[in-house]
Amino acid sequence: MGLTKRNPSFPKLALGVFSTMTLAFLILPIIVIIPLSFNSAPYFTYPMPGFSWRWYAEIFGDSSASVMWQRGILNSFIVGISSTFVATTLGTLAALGLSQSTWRYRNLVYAVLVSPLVVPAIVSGLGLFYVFAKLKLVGTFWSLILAHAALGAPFVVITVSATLKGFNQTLLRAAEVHGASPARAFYEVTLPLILPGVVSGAIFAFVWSWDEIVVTLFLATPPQHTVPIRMWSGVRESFNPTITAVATLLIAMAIILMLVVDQLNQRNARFNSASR
Amino acid sequence: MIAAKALSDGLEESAALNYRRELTMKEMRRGVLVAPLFIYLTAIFVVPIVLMLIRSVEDPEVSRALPNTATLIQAWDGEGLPSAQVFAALAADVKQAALDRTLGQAGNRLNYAIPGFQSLLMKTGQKISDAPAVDATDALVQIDQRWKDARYWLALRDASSKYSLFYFRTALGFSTSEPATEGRGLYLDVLVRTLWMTLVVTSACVVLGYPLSYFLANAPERLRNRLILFVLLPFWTSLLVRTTAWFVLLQKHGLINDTGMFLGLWSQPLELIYNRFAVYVAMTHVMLPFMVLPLYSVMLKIPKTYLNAAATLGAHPVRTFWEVYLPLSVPGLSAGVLLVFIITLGFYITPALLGGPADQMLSYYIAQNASNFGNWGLAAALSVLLLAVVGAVILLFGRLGATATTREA
Repeated sequence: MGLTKRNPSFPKLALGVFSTMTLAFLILPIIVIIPLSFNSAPYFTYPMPGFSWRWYAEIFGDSSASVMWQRGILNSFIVGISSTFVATTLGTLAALGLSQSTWRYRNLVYAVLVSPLVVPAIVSGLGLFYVFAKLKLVGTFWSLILAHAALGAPFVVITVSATLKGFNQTLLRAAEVHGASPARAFYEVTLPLILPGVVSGAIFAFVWSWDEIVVTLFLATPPQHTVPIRMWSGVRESFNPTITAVATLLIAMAIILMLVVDQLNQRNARFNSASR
Repeated sequence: MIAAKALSDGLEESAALNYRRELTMKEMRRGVLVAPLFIYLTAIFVVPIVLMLIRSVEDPEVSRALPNTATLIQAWDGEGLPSAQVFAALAADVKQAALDRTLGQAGNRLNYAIPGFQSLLMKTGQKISDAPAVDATDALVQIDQRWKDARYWLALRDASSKYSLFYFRTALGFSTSEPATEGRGLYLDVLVRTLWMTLVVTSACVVLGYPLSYFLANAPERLRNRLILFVLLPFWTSLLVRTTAWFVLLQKHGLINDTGMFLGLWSQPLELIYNRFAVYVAMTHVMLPFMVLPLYSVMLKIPKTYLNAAATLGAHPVRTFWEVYLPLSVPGLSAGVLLVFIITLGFYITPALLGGPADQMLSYYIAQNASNFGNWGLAAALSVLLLAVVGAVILLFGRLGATATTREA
């Protein structure tokens, strides 16, 4: 297989065609929505009668609908940044503690740490609502920040653990031998090496928070509604091209963050091969 | 000689002791690092969910509102009608509960067992105080003939303990107090439908994802690094954006219908949205990267030399694939299948936006029972079922993974 260079065989050709079609299936639905957000008419099809920024003006203008979108964006940033901060701090510490530990109940601890990834969102939403309602937290930013931090922390644990797997422990011993305090060794040896994992995890947690909808539906009242909640009600109630403009902005954000994480992964791979 | 050995033993022992103490210190320091997140997740995530799940076996409304009836009716054997004593207790309890305003909650709970029970109870509560205090049995039957119907008393007995499996019985479609009523077994159907839809989406992801991963992993490095972005972008794009994209594409006057009609492939707009087809297409689109990414990373690590060796030894390409490549890719395949399966089981948003009433999954009914009907007991019982299925799948895959690794070793 893959030995004959000339004369691509039929299976190889079929594989190429099939894979190209699958890649098109993956990417086209996302791509076609972008031009539609510049449509001068409120239709969702081609050909477009003209180019216009009007749907972006709907987001950033000063009508009551625009104010709702802007409020949503602000809320998503408030919840996203705060919860990412909590998730990254707690997640990084936990990953450091978990690496090379040999406790008897390590698997149980790990199961709790990644449980938010496994529990279906509807069950998480119901559980958090059930308890937060009793604590009078529903309808506050606190409930969203606490919940999103819990949901985002496992990503940080996983990405930082992955960087620690390639982490050369002798470097820490070397620092110790040369008289560095544990704190100094952490800041000058460990942290720079695991930083790509920390940042990747933080980006994952941030993106997750921006994408989160089910738990947020349970915990938020209109003043805390985030971008996904606004989109959700927009699609259900009055679907208009403003939503395609919001979607385009979110796709742009996804592309930027994806490229950042891609760079970090490559850097991490280089670091790992260097530190070995 | 003996002294020397004792000395060296002693030294060894103290060294071992020191080593162990050092290790314990290190382990404790690690514990201190893990503790904040562990405590945070236990308090903010695990405990709230467990408390909510416990709601599935709590059944307090009737015994709280009608305490004497609840105690007395448990002695009834279910034959004929309960004793006059029970009738009297109910008459007194209902009178008191109407005053305490707890009757509505009890009625609400009993309504889950027999629709219309709440109005029967409320009507009885209103009229009982005017009734002459002679025979309670006659008084109740005079208010409503239904008090002669044993079904209502069976439902009352069924609801009389503080904890019960009532909501699980409702969820799984067998109820003791009522004969077959409409909607019975609904949730069992939903559970089967959820599993079936998950199976279809997972299979579609394997069928599309395996060849694609193979293609990517065996493509030249430059091309591979470009093309993998086509998989990563959907992975990074918000679920709602992707669902919205399909909403735009599949609409009656959406892109696919317009293109098809423009090309003359069909003359009337096809029904592409609000059906199972739309849900399958969009969910497969959402989940495909979760299948491709683990598969791809495992396939990248499969040494080409193994395949060359098999070919050199005279194996047909099909046999090489079947006996060498496929087994080596199984870890990636099982990781992908597990990921896709457990995430798909919990889908809510995509079916809600793109599906019809018959395409909703278990999550939809959990949300509906909790937020629209306020039936937390049933929502909790359905949550337990959903979690149980997820847990079973993880355990199953854990077992499969374990056998696979032992075989490899």
